[in-house]
Amino acid sequence: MKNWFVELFKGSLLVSEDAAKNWRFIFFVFSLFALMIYAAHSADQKVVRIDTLSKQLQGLRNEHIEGRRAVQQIRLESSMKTSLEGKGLRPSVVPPVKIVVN
Amino acid sequence: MRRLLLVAAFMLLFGGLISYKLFQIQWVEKDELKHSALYDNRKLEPIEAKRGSIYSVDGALLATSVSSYSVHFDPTVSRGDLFENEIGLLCDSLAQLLDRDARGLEAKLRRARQEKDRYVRIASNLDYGDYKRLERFPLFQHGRGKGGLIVDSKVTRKKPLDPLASRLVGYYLDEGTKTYRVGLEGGFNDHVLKGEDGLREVQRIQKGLWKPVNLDNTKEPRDGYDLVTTIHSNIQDITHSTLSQVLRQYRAERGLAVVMDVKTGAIRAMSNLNMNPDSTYSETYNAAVADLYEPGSTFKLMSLIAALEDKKVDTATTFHAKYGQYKVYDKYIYDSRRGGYGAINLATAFAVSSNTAFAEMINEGYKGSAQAFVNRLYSMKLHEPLGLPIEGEQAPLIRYPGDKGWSGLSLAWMSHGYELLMTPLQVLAFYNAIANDGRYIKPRFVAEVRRGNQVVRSFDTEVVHPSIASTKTVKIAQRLLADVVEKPYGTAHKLYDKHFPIAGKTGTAQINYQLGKENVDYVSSFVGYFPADAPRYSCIVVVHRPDKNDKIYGADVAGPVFKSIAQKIYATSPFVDQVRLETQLTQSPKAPEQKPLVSVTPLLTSEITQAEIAIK
Repeated sequence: MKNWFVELFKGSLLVSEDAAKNWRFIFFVFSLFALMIYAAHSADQKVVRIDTLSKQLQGLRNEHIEGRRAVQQIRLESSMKTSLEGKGLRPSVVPPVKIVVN
Repeated sequence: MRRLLLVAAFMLLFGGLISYKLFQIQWVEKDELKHSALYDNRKLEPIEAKRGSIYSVDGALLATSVSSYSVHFDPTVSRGDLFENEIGLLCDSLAQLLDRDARGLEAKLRRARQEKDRYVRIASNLDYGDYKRLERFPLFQHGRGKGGLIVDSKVTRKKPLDPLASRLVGYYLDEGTKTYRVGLEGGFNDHVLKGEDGLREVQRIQKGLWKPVNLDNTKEPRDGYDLVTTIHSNIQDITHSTLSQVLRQYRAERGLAVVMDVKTGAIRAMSNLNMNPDSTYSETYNAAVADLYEPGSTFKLMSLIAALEDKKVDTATTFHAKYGQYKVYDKYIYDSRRGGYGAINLATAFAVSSNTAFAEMINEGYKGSAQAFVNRLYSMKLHEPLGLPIEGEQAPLIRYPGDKGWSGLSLAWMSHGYELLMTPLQVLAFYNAIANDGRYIKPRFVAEVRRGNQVVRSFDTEVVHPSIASTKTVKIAQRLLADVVEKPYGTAHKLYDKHFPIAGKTGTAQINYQLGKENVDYVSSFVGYFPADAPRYSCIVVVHRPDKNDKIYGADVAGPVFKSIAQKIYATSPFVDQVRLETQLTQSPKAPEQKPLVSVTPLLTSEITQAEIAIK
């Protein structure tokens, strides 16, 4: 037991003749740690990105609705009538005729 | 060796301390830490369901959820030179956007910087366009850290066609202790628009940011369905603008106009305008649905049908009210024309809207059997509410003999629309039944419930009464309603247009008559349908308290609104001609002798006639 402690503190685990296989295991363990840390960060980054994209999507949706609102308002007969009054144009009093060719 | 033992002892002590801490965490602080782990850094977060949108039948967006933005400013974070260089420009830009005084704003922001106020309100409820503009202003363009721009957003409900049908679209407000359910937003909140919130477990990863713990949500959210109304945006616009113009012209207290599809009961437009203290008009109350009023002469149609059905009169029956007055006990009923109309038959009495003739018809016809008159009205479902899907509809009040308020005068007064109360929509539904050959259908506001393009539920026409009167009576009523406009002596003859026949009835009801002559005000109305020969739409226009010093009659105030709505709908509804191309092109189409033969197949004969009239 005592020898085991002495060997551990001397670092023979890392420098002895058969240390190569220990190093392989140490690398393996550290690789696992690195992978785990990377995965955790990557997940966090994705959450941040999802949050950004959600905000962007909401913004685009708002932009779409504002555009649609403007178009809807312009399409109204009362809006067109007001804006075209100055040019001497007014709504027709006879209905349009739609011809459907079969 | 001693040194090694010392190190080992130290390590042992260190290990012991770790073991002690582990023991403490595992056994002593276990509950507290577990609670903290579960509730401080992990929580069940609600996933808000997206509220459904409301559309018009022609695809216009009537209500939807969008983000609105509140902007605050932290003037302490900017460097001195940056702040000095850009604060003036920022205030100029803000003043332009928010219509505020630039120098006053600059003084306020400078003071806030000196006083280290880190949260100065700049604007709230900004829409996305204004927010994006503001984000690019000097100083703000440097972001939160350098520019001091602080933005909060929240989801709000917007009505892109506001103020059109604003009250019908309505709103839903939950204040915890009380909920407000107005219009379609309120009526269709729970099962259609609201949806169902979901739940997911999240874990804190940094300040203000949480990440989901599991791949699956604890409970999946269900977004609200979209609601497709029966409102047509163009007809609504026409109705709103025409009504608004007339209300302004006659300085009326309020007014409403409703357009209904005769065959399906679909409400195509509903406008309710009330005068504000600054004399502008806005939609603040859905009077068409919720306002009980005495319909006045427009109720003569109901009296006429009752009397015809009970064979108390026919169109040739003559009335003889002398001097335009009819006495019931010690009270007099007068015609609007001083001196009256002399001896007139029923058809003329309806066209000129003689109060005395109708009082005589009902009072004498049902003398001793008042119950029969009321029973006839009840058999036509006039005493029942329509059962609308939105809150606020009032039940009509039609008294039964013996009820509180019933007197010997009641029959005579009810004959021309007093001593009884109905909502404008209930009156319209009855007129619509006449236009629809006696089939009484329920007005409806909603066409479909949808998720995207998929129809989840569609609403069919609901029949209240398959036939409110015999075919003969309905035909007579239709003829007499057309006469009101067509005959030169009809009260609505000024609405006559030979190209576009209208049928309907005027009404000029007195209100506040109990308070004496000087306090009497008027409710002008016109209700009917068009085109008279092949009804497509029925419509009611009611104008409350037009200026007494100006015109007050239904034909003068409400009638023109009706005519204008009818004409505009007519002018914007295209005629469809189907053209069949009959040709055998065997050679080059450029060959002059191979002209195609064209035959025109009209959809409806009436449409051809109307198209010919239009072309002429």
